Amino acid sequence: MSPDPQRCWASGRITVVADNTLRVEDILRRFPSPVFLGGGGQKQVYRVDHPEHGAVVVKIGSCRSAQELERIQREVDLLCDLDSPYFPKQFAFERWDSQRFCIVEQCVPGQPLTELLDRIADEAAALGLLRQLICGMSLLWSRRVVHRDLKPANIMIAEDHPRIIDLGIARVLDGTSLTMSHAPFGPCTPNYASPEQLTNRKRDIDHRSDQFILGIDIAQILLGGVHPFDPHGVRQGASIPENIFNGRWCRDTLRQRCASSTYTLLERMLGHHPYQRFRRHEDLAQALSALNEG
Amino acid sequence: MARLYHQLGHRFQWSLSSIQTDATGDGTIVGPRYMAPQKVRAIPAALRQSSLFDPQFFLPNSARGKLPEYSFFPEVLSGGFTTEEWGPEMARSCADRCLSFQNAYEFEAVVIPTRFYEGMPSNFISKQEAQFVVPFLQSIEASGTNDRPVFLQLILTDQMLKDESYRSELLNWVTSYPELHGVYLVYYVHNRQKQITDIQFLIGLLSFVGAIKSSGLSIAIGYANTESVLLLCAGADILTVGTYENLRMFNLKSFEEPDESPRRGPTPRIYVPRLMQWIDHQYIGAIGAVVEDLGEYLEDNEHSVRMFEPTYNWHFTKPEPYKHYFVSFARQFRRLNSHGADAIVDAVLEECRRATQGFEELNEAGLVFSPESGGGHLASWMTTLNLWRGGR
Repeated sequence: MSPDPQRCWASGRITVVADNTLRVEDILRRFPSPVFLGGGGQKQVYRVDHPEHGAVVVKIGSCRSAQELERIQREVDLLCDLDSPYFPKQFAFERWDSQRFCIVEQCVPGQPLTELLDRIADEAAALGLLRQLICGMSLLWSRRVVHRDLKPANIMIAEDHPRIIDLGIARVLDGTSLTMSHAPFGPCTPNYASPEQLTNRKRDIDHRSDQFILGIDIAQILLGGVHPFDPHGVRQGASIPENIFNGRWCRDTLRQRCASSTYTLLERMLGHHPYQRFRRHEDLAQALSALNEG
Repeated sequence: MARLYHQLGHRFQWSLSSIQTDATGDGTIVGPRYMAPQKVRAIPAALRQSSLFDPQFFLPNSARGKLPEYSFFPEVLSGGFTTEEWGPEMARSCADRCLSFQNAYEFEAVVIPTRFYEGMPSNFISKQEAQFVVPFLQSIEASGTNDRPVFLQLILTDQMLKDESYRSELLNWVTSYPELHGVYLVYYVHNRQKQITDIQFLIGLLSFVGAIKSSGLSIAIGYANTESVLLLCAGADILTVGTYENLRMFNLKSFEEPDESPRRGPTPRIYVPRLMQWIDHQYIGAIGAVVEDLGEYLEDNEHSVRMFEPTYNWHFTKPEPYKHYFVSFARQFRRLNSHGADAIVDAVLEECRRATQGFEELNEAGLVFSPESGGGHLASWMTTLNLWRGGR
């Protein structure tokens, strides 16, 4: 038996339906003109016109483990609670048995920052973006949630303000960890991870880890798209993670590319140890605000 | 600007009268080991409001002195403290009572106590968190009295502070609590001499204090001896003076079960700012024989007048040497403290050079000091400042 669309898709909350036979086509049949955006293997993503919400993204997938499904469910829960313009709105989440799921969320406008890294030439624009990202992230940080994957691909740039996507590996600091305890790497994208994530020092992972990754993103913009820990730029190390691990980045080049006050801010955000970064996210916002005023 | 507090313990009345009469302190650090609750209550309210209360949970299973009079002390509350039985409920009850006491007496900040651990245990952070830090933070949040600044006490061994990796872990941990306003640091140095000469330790200590300050937290340092002048350079907010050595050199002797062996009273000494050292009183006459004006040399003050009388009975139970120390050290502390952040290292280095020169002159005149009264620490202190300033 198919789930009742009215019941399942209106609240934006999790609905669990016992139906192992439902296919992707059955789900998509509810919407006119689905456009395949990408995916493969475990997940397919479509853009559809939702009768109530307009353009939405439908993600249909299956998980390899109950743990993965829990993580997805937690992301949806979190986004539902946030209700922030900086994060995509969640309209619905359904799961079938323990493996399959479907998410309906706001279609986020704009382009991923990945495609614009070398096109934001202006330092003021880069700092403006940082300010907006901090404004958005403060909502998460004040709930003691860490995104852990704030790479450029997870930042969508739109005309009004950026959107932060993919909270799949976000960590609730007071919650039970869903991650492997003894994995050599913590969950992260190694090229955009803090040293404590790379070494999986869980105790040290907090909002300051996100601060470090945002530091990489903004430095990369100011360096015209070159990753600040790139071995070619640093002229040391064999890989970006190795340079992050050893605290080697293009300090001199960045110093030449931006105002000294901006450099000082980024240098602190990129502090090798969490204690060297801004202690509270309010301190970071305040330092940035002082920079803008100056 | 750093403030000078009195670490209160045995003979705390000398400290209180020195603060009131000689203005030698900006506040106090109160401890229950030597002060019953009614004595704490007797401290003038204005002074309590610029004081910290150290619950002294160093050894939570040993309630010595006046500690049994405090219902929140772990051994008292649990009727026999053991780590295994110190569960979340007991820890929370302890936190509630201890916070209630600190709030009722209107201390300037709330201190979250932690316990002492030897060496550098790998589970130091998780144990402190579970036993004290988290229950206290929960209690603070629940009490709704979080308008008062919150300080976390840290009792660190010399090994912890010398090991860069361990130090970083501690710093990452302490700075991870947005609820905190400051750290109340106590350091324990194994087999220490009267003055600390371990350069690696001193650099570790200065680095730790500097990092805490850079993070935006305040730092109060308890049980400090005259190495306070070095800690001024790292930006410490509160430093301490105290009567007896056990208030200027942290150790657990007075918190452990009493041992039966007879104890010898300390040799009476006089603090000589000019030499940056405590000098055995028996040298006073010898110094007087070679310097032009002994009174000026020893920074004479009203307390020393009696000490220099031939009939004066030097004994550790007499207040004059300690009150003289409070006055002369407070003066030296404030003079150095008046230098700005950029100039203070040079000022302290100059003070050390001057003291070294003072010892050289006395040596040339034939005075040979024992290591406990000599200037051997000054070379270590100057080296420490030079290396620390150079970032090494």
